[in-house]
Amino acid sequence: MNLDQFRRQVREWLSSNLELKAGLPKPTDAEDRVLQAKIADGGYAGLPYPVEYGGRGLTPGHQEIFYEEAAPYRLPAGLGVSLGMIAPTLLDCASPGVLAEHLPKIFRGEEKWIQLLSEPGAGSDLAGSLTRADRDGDRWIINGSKVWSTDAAVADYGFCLARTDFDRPKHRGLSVFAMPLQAPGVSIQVIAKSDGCDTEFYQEYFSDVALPADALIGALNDGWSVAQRLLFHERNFSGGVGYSVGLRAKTKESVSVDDLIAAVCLRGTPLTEREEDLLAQAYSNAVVHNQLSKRVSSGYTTGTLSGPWGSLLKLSSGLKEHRRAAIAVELCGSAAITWDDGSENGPIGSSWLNAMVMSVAGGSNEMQRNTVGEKLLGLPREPVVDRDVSFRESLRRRAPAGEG
Amino acid sequence: MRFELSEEQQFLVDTTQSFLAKELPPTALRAWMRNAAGQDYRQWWRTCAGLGWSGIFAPESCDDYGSVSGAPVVDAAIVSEIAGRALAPSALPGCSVAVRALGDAAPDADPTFRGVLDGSRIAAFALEEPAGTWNLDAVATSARREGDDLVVTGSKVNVPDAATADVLVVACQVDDGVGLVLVPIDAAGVDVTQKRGLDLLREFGDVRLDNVRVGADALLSAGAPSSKVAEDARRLATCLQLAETVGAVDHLCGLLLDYAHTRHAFGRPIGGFQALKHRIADVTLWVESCKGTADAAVDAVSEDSDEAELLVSVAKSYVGDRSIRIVQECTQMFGGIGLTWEHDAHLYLRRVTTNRALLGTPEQHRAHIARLLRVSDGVGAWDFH
Repeated sequence: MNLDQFRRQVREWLSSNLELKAGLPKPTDAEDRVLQAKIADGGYAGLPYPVEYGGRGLTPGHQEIFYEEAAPYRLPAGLGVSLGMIAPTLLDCASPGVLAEHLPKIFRGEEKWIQLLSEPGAGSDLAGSLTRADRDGDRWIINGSKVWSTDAAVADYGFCLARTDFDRPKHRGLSVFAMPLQAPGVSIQVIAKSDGCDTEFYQEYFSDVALPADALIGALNDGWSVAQRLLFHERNFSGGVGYSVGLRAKTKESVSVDDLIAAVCLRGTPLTEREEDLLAQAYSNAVVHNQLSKRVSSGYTTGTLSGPWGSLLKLSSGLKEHRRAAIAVELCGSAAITWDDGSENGPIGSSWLNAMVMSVAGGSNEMQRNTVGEKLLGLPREPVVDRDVSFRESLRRRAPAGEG
Repeated sequence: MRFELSEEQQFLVDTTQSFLAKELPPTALRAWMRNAAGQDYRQWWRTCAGLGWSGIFAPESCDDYGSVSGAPVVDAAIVSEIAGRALAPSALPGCSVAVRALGDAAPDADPTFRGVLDGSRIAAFALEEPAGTWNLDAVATSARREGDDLVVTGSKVNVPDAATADVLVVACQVDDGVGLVLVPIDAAGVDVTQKRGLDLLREFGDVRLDNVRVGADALLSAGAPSSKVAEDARRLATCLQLAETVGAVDHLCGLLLDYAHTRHAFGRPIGGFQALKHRIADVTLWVESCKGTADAAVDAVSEDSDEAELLVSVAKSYVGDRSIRIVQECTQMFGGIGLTWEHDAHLYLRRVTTNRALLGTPEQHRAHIARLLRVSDGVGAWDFH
């Protein structure tokens, strides 16, 4: 179907099936699932995915059109990880059996997935995972802990990276499992962020969690390449390109340029040149970020770009968010540090405390710079000292002298 | 370079690149330095005109000239970007502004127009004034009517190609706002003072216009109100400058990347050290962002969209600041060699610093953005693009 016809069809379907989001609160998890089922019933879920796995067999371009047209409507708010990161990773790596079992449910909002990658002792160096999966007959027994997963409390499955062989080198003894979060032995705790709020991130603890043999995603001990695909799709999701095009809703920023203008104008005194300059900077930075994102999208669409350009967009977001919050603090003066609306942090204070979330979460700026330098520009890696050493041995070397 | 190119535009890219590679080796470029207004420049521009650079904005009635894609602003920006990579001297902005403003009104029988098209005459765009004017709001130079003539009086500064130009496209106060008036350089009352400049590959001059008498048909209308023609000219000149800067920083960044791969220190290529790799990643981010914002400005001007004014200022302020940062970061990473006369880094610094200052500084464009966003009224209800 050509894209213009498709767009007309989407427009028609949206206007008679979804409600406009204006004035409505962000959907809850339960509402997310109802909305996603509706989208799937309409035939607009999994647009670029194969038909045999519940998709429509179309292109990312069709998906982009759907979400462009759907932007004014109330859409699922918390299914981005499942639809934008897990689904394309499964398509890249999972067996037909796993795909047939999970993809249709993901597209219908029946299964919500989270990432179980980072650990308290393994963040940027994700391959240093200590969570272990031990074979027990035809089952896998998982022990360990994962952290920084979004929305874990309402999710169904985790995409869990675990060590299946301690005698192989760090990157070659890992495997990925589909972990049902309701399984016995899984406990989930919310993490309080530095702003005192505790609604976003979670830590999970696994104590002898038993998984069936077919929970394995990809080949045994090939988990690192599976995880790499997930990270690739995560960058694309952040940048709104590739299979994730359109999925990241342009949510209102915590403190938008409009908010800033309003805050400064409330003061009642005319803006200084410096203040006008800062507002124009905040505005331009946001515009240029979107223009960069369009450029990368166009590079993917035309086939001129390949590789993890999402990392460049992620780096751009990380730097932009910090700059915007800094501008807000400078512009708002004392209103950034004291307020009287009874809120915990105040809008500017809250944005300032969270200014560095984007430069760490989902891969730090430094890791994005490594990816840009090494994968896009072909620069050599730093020498790695633990590449050809068994993970057991590298753990032993980690221990301070006199121990271990 | 933008990714979405028509077949004709791809052809334009290929021919422009191979022309510059063949005709402008680094040694030739070095020979230009401090001699940018000489006879060689005329010769060079005629060669460029032979490739069609001077005639991109010619109307359809001119068989031998015109845009290859039907989007002349985009075509001219493509040429400007490739020329910018090589730091090629070019009269593209002045000649493009002139031909576009002449529009359908000027048949190729007109000697001035024909000369600009075939490259034998060079047109220069004279906008800036001693008060630091970068936009049309504060143009003080005037063209008053006297009978059938226009009489032009005022001062223009930092006019590119002033000492070489045959004809000036002068932004003046006219009946209905600011318009463009075509003034032959040899008209009585025109006085050009050539200046020394930071950019060794371009030439600038100040122009005094003392009761210069030209015919009423010297006011360029292109079938639109004078002020629209003048505004379009300013935006076009800015777009071509943006494209040139983007080409320059992209090329220098490429040189740095080669260096990072091949220069060894402490037993390995320097680009392997995170201390440099991370800075190169940042430079890459800025270069790609410059491309994204410059292309968006070019597209908006090409389509004459309502957002053109805003997007030109966004790009001009962003690229102006970032280009300097990019060149200085590259220079730092080149180390000692980057500080020498022989290395090209200083030529790029000279070029981007000059471009930053001309047609409005980043600060001036941000003040303009604030006005456009009406931040002072507390309105600011502009969507992000």
